Amino acid sequence: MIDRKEAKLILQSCRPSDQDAGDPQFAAALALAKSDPELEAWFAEQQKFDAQVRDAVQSLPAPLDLKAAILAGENPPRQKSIELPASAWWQNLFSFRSPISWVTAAAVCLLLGAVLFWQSSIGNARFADYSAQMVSAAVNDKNHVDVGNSDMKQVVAWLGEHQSENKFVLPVALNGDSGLMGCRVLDWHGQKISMLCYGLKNSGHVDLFVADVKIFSDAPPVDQPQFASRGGMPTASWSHDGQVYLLVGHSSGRDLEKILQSNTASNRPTQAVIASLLAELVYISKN
Amino acid sequence: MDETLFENVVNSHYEPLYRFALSLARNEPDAGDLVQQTFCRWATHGGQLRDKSKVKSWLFTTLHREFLGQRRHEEKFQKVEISTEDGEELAAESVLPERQLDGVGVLSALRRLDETYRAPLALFYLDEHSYRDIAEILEVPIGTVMSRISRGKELLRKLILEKQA
Repeated sequence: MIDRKEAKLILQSCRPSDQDAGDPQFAAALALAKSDPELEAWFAEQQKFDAQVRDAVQSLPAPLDLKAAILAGENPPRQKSIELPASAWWQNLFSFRSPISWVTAAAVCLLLGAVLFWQSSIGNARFADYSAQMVSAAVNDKNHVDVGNSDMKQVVAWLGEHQSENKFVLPVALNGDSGLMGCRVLDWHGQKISMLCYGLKNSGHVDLFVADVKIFSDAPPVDQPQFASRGGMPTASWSHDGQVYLLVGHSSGRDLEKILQSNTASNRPTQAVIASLLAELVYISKN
Repeated sequence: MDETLFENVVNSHYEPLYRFALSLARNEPDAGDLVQQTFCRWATHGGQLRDKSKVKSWLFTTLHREFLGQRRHEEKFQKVEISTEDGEELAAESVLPERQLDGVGVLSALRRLDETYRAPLALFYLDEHSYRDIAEILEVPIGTVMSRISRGKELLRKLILEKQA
């Protein structure tokens, strides 16, 4: 027979899933919890806490490119403990007799070429290609956001920690915590792109992508939103203070217009109205 | 190793492995490296595993060993332990966090815990393994796993509540 203190110690290790339900080492403690209301309440609270932590841990996403890197057989680039043979270690790196070595060398050359190509393409990227990629990311239901969080300060801090764009000049309707649902960091041609996801009361689901303007050869005009449709999704894009903003709507283009004219009574948005509204943008920075 | 088999193993396990690595390593790139290194080992040594039902445990054990191996080479990083006194009674009344927990917040609290508690707690919350498997992965007795989880949970709860206060 176990006492309450012992039962607590055991029950602390009992998970809220079915994983431990049939484990005999928990049977006596579980039985005691059923007959002891105080212990039962304590256990229920433990289970609730464990379920919250479990869900939070299991929501952590793996990087988008990790699986591809594993399948490509890439060795970790930042290995810290490589055990080198005592002698002639360099002979193991490349063997002229081994076809695998030649294939590896060719792959390295291709990779270097790709990296050089990417680097040379920065500043020459077409905005249309970028938009198409970001629209694809916007419609991706799985791993839509890296972090689900409605606190703008925390989201901005998280983006900063991940070396992504986090100094935004946002339209009034997208500023603050209202409707913010989470964020994500995407990699596009080696550049970090920040995505903010919103569920707005009047305009539905929208995603805002922020990138460095230097990436593009044909960035959209400053403070003059360009409305378009890409892949069946309405978009609005503009540049401001060294950054390019791409707003992707999940319902109608009218919703995007509403977001960009949210501070005016004007019914019909014009470039001038929107430009004047963008002048009222709110600056948010990590600090 | 057969490519399809390898891809199936990667598909099935890379995400929970990454989450485990994330709780052990200091940052995302280190966690990604650990996972890649683990699958590199699987590609070269996985064929020797006779009992295919043990693939998951093999991968987690290997990742944990990789982590410990790397740690041994990093003596310059001083270990900081947050611990409670031995024999301290568990809180009679538990307090739940007021706000819904998010992955990043929990991860940052987990990383503040000593390694002794971090690994068993991460495996506990990943919910992928039985206690027997966790004990095998960490190469310690089941009783030790349970006591570390019990104490680790209390420390984790304190850190989370402190952060939310």
